[in-house]
Amino acid sequence: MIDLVIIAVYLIGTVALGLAIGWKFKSGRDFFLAGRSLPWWAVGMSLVASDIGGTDIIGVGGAAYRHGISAANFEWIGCVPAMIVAAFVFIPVFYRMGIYTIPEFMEKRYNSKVRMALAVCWLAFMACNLGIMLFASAKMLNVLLGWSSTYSILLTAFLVGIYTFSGGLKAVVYTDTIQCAVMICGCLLVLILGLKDLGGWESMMTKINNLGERTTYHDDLIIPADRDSPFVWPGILFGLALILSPAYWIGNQAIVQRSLGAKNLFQAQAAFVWGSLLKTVIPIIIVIPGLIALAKFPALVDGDHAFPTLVAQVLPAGFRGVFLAAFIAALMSSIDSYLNSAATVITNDFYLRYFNRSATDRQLLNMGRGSTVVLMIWAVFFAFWILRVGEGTPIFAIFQTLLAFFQGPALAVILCGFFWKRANGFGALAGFLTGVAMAVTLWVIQQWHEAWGIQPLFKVPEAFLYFSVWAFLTSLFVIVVASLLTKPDDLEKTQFLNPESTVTKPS
Amino acid sequence: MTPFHYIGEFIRQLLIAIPMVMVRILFVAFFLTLIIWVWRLPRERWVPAQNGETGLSTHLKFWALLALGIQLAIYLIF
Repeated sequence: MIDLVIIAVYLIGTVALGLAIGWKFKSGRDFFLAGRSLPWWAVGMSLVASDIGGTDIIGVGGAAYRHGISAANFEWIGCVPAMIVAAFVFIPVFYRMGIYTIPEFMEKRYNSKVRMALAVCWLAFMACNLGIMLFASAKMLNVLLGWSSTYSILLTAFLVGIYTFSGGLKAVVYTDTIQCAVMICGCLLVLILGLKDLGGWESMMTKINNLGERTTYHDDLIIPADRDSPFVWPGILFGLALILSPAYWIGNQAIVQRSLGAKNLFQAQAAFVWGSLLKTVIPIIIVIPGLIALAKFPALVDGDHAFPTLVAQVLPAGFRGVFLAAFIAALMSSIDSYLNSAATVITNDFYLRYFNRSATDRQLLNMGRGSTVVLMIWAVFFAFWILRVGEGTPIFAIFQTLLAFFQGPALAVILCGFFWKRANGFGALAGFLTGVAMAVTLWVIQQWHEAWGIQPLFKVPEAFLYFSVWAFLTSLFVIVVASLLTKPDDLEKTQFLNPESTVTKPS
Repeated sequence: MTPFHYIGEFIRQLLIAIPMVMVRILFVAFFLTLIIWVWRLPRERWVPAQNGETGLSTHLKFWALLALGIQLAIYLIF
């Protein structure tokens, strides 16, 4: 009962805050960029909260259970370097240009076709991801709280939808700030009580090391390339640190949009640096519980049950409520971010760009809110559809891998746009589409190799890191060749690289 | 077997042949490179004109170096 009270207090408080923030809004700029009023500490916490979903807490804990601390690579080398580079190189340019979306940047640098290609990909991904997140949330809430999937999907969609509809980016960021704090506190509780229950760190590591060969590399971040692990070092260094991570922290609309709503450029940069410091701490509170679970319950069949089992066994009533609130916070913080960003792409890259170029502030605000409602309804239907067809189907696997298909090519396009003035619109589009085609081809071969009687292309489970590497390299190659073979763009396309010439007003 | 398989297997064997000591050096070098890059950033990259505040809390370069330094230590130890 006390757990439910804590959860209810958290949910009501979050929604009330979101509603209070948004009732005064008058323009699209208020809705999409929070009127450029956000402080660095809120944006930084929102970056972290948006990145960590409820499924990540369970999933990373499960990965740590199965593979050890190498799961922490996704939060350490997979976040911190890219966030620092983003803070000092890319965010200043995006901020000064006054853009609302990454596709908008693509048009300024290249042309409208590149913008459209990116906008379609981002919208498709974000729209599908909303449904997947709702579905995954429902699964988790069913395991942890015994709630029915239907009830969980509808309740989550309603609560997140209502404050995102009302308050846009500002509501999303400030609720994310609370959600980040709750998330950290909840996971910290699990960590402290779990370690106490085990008798401390040394006792935990002794128990883990006594489990034999299955835990040989459990205390190593860098795993040899020939191990049967999804986190072997080539994938982590080349796929994650050099491709996927920069693509995410520089080119993900849901991430970058936060910094575009900061009060000024310093705040935008400071948010990323602050976020990188927070990310240093995150693996400690979500990876180590996975190890604690391994030491306490070494015979779990499914590693993803590690966190829920630990919570059920170790946390007393009341404390469990705090963790459950933390879990729901993590779920909601990711859903609200993608919901708001998808609405921004629809309004800015489709409605304003193609249907109503002279839209007023009020019209943009209404379009943003309307898109939010439509997207949430779509996400609910999509989540129910996944529930019906089942998550074991190939179609579900496709939607889960969508990001890996185009993030690498998108990064290649952005990097060439920033660092090579000769890259032109034709080359960018050709490179992007070829890169996506390469990623899809590799995925198809990897998925259906057995049916064709051939060996798998990648001898690691979950090869998405490698799809991104090859897609990126393919894109890069095609961008270079196609750009050199065609006419260069006008010089004004690269004027933004000169800080003195960049306009600061929004498009 | 597709051409992709042959390319993939060649690269896989190449990577497996790299000693783990060299791999760790690669990871450390990655962070060291970033640390040196941040250290050498020109002032206008980390002190935008709008910022009228002073003090350690506004010294972005310091905090970025701290974040990267912690990462370097982590990847040296684990």
